[in-house]
Amino acid sequence: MISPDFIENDALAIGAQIRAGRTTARDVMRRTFARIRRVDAGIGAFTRLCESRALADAARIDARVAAGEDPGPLAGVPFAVKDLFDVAGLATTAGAAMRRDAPPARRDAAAIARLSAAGAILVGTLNMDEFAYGFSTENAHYGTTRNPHDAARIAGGSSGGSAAAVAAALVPLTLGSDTNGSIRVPAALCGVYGLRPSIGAVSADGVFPFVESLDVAGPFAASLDDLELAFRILSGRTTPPAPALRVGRLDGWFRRNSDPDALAAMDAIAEHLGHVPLVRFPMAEAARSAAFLLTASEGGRRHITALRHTPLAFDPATRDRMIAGLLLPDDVLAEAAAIRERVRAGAARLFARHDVLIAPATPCTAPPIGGGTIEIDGRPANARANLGLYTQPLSLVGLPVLTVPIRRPGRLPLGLQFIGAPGGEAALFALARQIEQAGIIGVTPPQALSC
Amino acid sequence: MDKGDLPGDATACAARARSIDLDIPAVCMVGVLANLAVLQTHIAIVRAAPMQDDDD
Repeated sequence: MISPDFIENDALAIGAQIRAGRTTARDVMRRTFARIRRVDAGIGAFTRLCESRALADAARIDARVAAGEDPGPLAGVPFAVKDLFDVAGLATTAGAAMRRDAPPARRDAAAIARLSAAGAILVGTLNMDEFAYGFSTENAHYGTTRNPHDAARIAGGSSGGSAAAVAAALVPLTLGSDTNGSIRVPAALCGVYGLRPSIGAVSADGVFPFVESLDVAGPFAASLDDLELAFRILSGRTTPPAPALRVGRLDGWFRRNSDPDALAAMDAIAEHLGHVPLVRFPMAEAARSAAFLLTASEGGRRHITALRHTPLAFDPATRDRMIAGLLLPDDVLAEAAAIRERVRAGAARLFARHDVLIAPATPCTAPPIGGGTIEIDGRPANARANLGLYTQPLSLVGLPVLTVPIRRPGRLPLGLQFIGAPGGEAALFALARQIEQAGIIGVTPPQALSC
Repeated sequence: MDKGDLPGDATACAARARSIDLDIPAVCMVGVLANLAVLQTHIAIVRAAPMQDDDD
């Protein structure tokens, strides 16, 4: 039984129906807000709704269609953004209680403006870890975002609201940000597509920073078509058809501790493509540690004034990590920065021989809220603390990564990373289409939610 | 902060924090020390990196 507030979770289809006059943007908004109110109480993806703004935008889209104009490929498509994108008239909280009363943003973030110019309609802001520092979206101030596939489990983070909103079909398109894996981890755990673009491909204007040398804004969607269109609109870049792709599977660090199902999916891809050699990513373990250290230090430095004057206003988990980062000696940070340059050079050599590399996105499925243990190198370890095991080495050097959901109906989602050279997003989309057609990857709607 | 290891106990931690004009509330100390222990493991990995082959 499909409820009357259900909207097909397909941005292109919604846009096409509105442009053809088969439905209206106002009707899509009415059904969107009805579904959010009905379903999100059990998920906690949204932090604020922009209903009056959305309805006004919808009326303008409908008027343009009625006048014979084309509002753009995303005409009337509802979207939402992680709560660190500036939204005109709202405080940009970055998931922090101390920013609840910050001065309202004067204008929308550039990424929101681009989607709006293509006809999309902003409907709200989405939950996240405080200041984007975390992989779980268990926010002490704004609540926990639950995984639509199992409400007892986390959605991942820090863009947990962005992934959960798409997985629960609340909106077909969202924006998040990725510093160490904050798009890739929640996309994998919620079973949707997520893109960490190349550094600089999507404007960071109006996006609250965390670690500026690592931060990237990017989209989540329930289909490759929607994700690719969103990337084109956000970046202004085209994604032309890629020639024959040279694909490799990451070995070593990226197979150690992996969920066997992720490795099986990588093997299935290798079998489908014919020749996908196992290759090593340079200094993967050291790269992850360097990312960890640089993040703790830069995150702490960014917030040192608040840590000095109002430390108890922070989420305790964020605060304690940032304070520890502030105590790191400079020589350690110099060593971490040197590792980054060596990894960058090694990655360039690797991508001279390959167009796309494949790796697991996370070492496990979504852990339970508040806990969960996995085995790392034969020892029990905190699952949440290790969710970035495979994402952090890659973002240290700014590689674009498309996270794809392994097709596994009836089981908790798991994802893979398709990794490219800087500027190599077209190859990532080309490979993903091929592998999706082979039935190895694809979105499975949550069984826990009634449509 | 120039050189050196991370502080290993609450007294050393508080002293290091004061050197950058930061007072660590008592309620935070356990969490900060736990995070310092995690960072120490990552420092060890980074410092061992010259022993690794650049291609892992």
